[in-house]
Amino acid sequence: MINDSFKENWLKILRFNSNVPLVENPKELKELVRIPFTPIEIEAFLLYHLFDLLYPRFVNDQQNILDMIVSDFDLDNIVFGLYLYETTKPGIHSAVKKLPKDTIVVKKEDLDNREELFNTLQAIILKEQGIKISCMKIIRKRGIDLINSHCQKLNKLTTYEFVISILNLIQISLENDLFSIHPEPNFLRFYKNCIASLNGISLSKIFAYFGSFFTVFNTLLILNSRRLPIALKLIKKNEKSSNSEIDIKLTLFDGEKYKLNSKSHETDFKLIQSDFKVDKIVILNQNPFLLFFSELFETEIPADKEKLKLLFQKALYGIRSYDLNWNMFPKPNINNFVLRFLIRLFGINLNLKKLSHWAIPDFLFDLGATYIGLNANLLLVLTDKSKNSSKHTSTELILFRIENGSITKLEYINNPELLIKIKLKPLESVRIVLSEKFGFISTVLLVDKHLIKTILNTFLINFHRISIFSLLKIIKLLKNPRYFQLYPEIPPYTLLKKKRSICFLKDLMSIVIDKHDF
Amino acid sequence: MNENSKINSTEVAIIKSTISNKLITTGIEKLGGISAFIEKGDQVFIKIDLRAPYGFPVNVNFDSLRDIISLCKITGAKQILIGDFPSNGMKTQSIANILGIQSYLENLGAELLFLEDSNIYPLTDLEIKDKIIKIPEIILESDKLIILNQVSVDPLFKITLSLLNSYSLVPNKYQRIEKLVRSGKDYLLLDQYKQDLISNILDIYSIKKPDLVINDMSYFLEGAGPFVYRDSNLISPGLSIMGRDAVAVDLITLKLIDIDLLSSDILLEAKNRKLGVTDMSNITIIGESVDNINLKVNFSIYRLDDINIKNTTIKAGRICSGCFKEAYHLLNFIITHMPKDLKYIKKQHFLMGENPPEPESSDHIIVFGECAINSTKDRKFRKIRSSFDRNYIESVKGKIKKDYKSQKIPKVKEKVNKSIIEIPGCPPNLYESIISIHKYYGKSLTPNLTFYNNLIKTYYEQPSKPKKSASD
Repeated sequence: MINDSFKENWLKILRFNSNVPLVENPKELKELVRIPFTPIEIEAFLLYHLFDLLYPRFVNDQQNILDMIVSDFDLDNIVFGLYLYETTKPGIHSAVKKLPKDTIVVKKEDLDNREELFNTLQAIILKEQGIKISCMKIIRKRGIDLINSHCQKLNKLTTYEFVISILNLIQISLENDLFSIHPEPNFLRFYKNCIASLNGISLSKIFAYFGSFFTVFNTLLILNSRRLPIALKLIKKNEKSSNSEIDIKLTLFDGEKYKLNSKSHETDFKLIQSDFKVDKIVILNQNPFLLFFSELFETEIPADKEKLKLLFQKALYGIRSYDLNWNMFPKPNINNFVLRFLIRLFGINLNLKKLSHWAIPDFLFDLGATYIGLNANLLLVLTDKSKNSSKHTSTELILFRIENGSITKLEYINNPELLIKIKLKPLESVRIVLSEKFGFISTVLLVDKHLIKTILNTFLINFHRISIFSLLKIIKLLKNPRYFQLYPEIPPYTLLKKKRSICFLKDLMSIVIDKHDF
Repeated sequence: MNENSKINSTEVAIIKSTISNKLITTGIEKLGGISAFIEKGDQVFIKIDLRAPYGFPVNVNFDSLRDIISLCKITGAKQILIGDFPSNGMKTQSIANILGIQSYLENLGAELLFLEDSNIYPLTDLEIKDKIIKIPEIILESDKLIILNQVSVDPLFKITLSLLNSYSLVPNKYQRIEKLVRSGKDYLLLDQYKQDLISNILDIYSIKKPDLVINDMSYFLEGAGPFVYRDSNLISPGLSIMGRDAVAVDLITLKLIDIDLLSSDILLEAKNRKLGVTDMSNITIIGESVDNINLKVNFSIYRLDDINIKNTTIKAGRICSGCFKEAYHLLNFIITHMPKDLKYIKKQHFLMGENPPEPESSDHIIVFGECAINSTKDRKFRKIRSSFDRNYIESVKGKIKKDYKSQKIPKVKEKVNKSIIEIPGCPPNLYESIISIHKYYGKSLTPNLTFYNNLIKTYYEQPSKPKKSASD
């Protein structure tokens, strides 16, 4: 039923997992496996560790799992297969047992009440196998077909194509309920709701759009923990092509060798850089990072305004806690004491560790609620005005429906008739035309790809080089109608346009950075 | 009154729907259709609220406005005019530019009027109770007047009623309540400000009664309003209440949120003046029944001391509704837009009303309004007492000899306390209060306020001469 290559790899993983408790130092077992559903090959022990780390936290912290394959059609018994995983440790799949498919008779309508179905299955398996299952996965036959078709082409796909394929697989599976877990873990509910609120906008398209912003990078991301640090090497080589090849390598990281968690020595970044042949190194502490995601997945979608503020605060606190929860090499310029002091002489306060995590969310949310409104339809016009040709402009339209201060729905507008109507029209006319169909559009925001790319490069790719000049560059681009427009022009934007960039930056920095530095 | 009216003036329609664009059309349909209100060739003036250049729900629901315009067009209205005199002396042009509504309305077939321009829209003098009130001729000449009112919480009248909406049919100057102390009457005890305000509102309402009144409650701003503040919360009751009689429509709207006639000063006065139907038995409800709608809302606070602001103590003396309203908005502005500033300021006192209690310390005292300024002229906090003794010999003796006690009484010097922000006005103007506070604290203590002060300057024009308070 399932793709051979997938099955072979999965059985290899199970074999390895079953051997781990028997071996004194499982780290030494140099066996390679593929991460399921991906072409990425990693050490089997690392995968074991990842399951051990992530599964109990995000999926289920109890033992024993049942996989049930069901038909898409209304049959007398829709069960195609039952696979029981007896797990000694939560999440560690080490042995599988195929149960007779007539162990239970399931009708299509039984799937409507999963709680009852789960309880029945739990009782049957406890009686027949003496094992209490803590979770059941339901995979529809169509889901299996999709997995098969995804797995079949894995060998031929580049990493970029693979990401596109897996995102499509996830989106189709969750939208059509082809894959579900009961009791439903937070992460799955979160993803399902996120995908539902995307309203048909494909994840792969979003990935392709944002992926094209990142030009060349060669970065090592270390998820640090005292127990088992993990290194993720990300490389993108070809700058010219938007979907140029990305290389992903996931390995165990020898923390001792590089003095990663040493109290007496500083981490040997230079050695890491030369050993891994990377330009940049980012170290994130595993625990706060995972805690943030746990909390994120608990969020109801559409998220309540206050919850969003809280998450935003936490994310900013994470950024602020440089040297405590994260670190990078080369070190960010703004962390340099002398440089900060000199900038301060010009009245600009730029200090990462004084990022006003407690004030920024309130400031932004209140500003938006006041001038855009608690309920609003905000139209985002994404353009791509290539530098060389002013004629060529591709446009994407996304409508954000905001209710009581939080985004409740996204709509991707791709009606060809509408697009023709608004082509090359000023934002005022775009708003009038679209208001007829989608209700009163309060604000139209035009953002060019170049601006997004500059922002992402400044704050993500070249974060270590961030300076007042890079920030001024962004402000200048925001003032340029070629890259950013707002209709109607709300007062914050009028202020940005009216004020000298340096004065605006000064005022803004006094809000986003806490004072009392020196 | 419309002679061709097909409906009884005491009919009020209550429509409930989750689909907001059905509310207006269904409601009007239930009242006999738009032709019961508008005739072919009519010039229709739709009165909306343009309070400030803020987003929904501060002004009006533009989807509801679109529905009314389309209905008027279907009937064959000759001209559909939209307008309001914005509050706080703002210009319609500024608000229209910031909301981008002029071209939107033109595209719908309506025209936004910039009523402040008396050259284009001349004003007509009307004498009401020995007062001259000027109202734009174009409103008086319009065949039909429709009031589209977005309902939200209001600090003085619980909710923003349609009667309040009709108040801004006249320029700000004629809406302003001058302090007029009647002999033998306590201005503050009787809350003469509110009485005068109600009287003024009803005077203006009676100039030209609307032909159709719509209280739009598809969304309702509760908690703090009618501007959007930190404590504001937008709920969606999905309701629309409409009829020909504004008083009856407001009465029913209040009834839906469990407020009866006796609890509403303005409706009681309207009843005394026989300005509309206030007897429930004379109002025919169409659509939903009042009893079936169990709407619970959070009203705004009615005591300013209940507002909890970080590092700020609020002391109120005897206060009139005028100062209450402006202080309410100022304090909510501070909570919403100055969180960081409040942390830097560390401690401030906000005094308002007549004879407010003494602040605990003499740092950063905001004295709000004429009453507070005048009644605290001789208060302790106005002076700072500092003892000083420059007798170095005595102080050295004190250090050398353990048990030495100087016989000299330390000199006490009194200085004028300069840590006081006086905000004049009866009542003070919100924007000017913000500017005064910013001027006092400066940029370094108030980064948020500096930003908002600059923002406000982009659309608010300060009057060239400071307004003198009314006669005291």
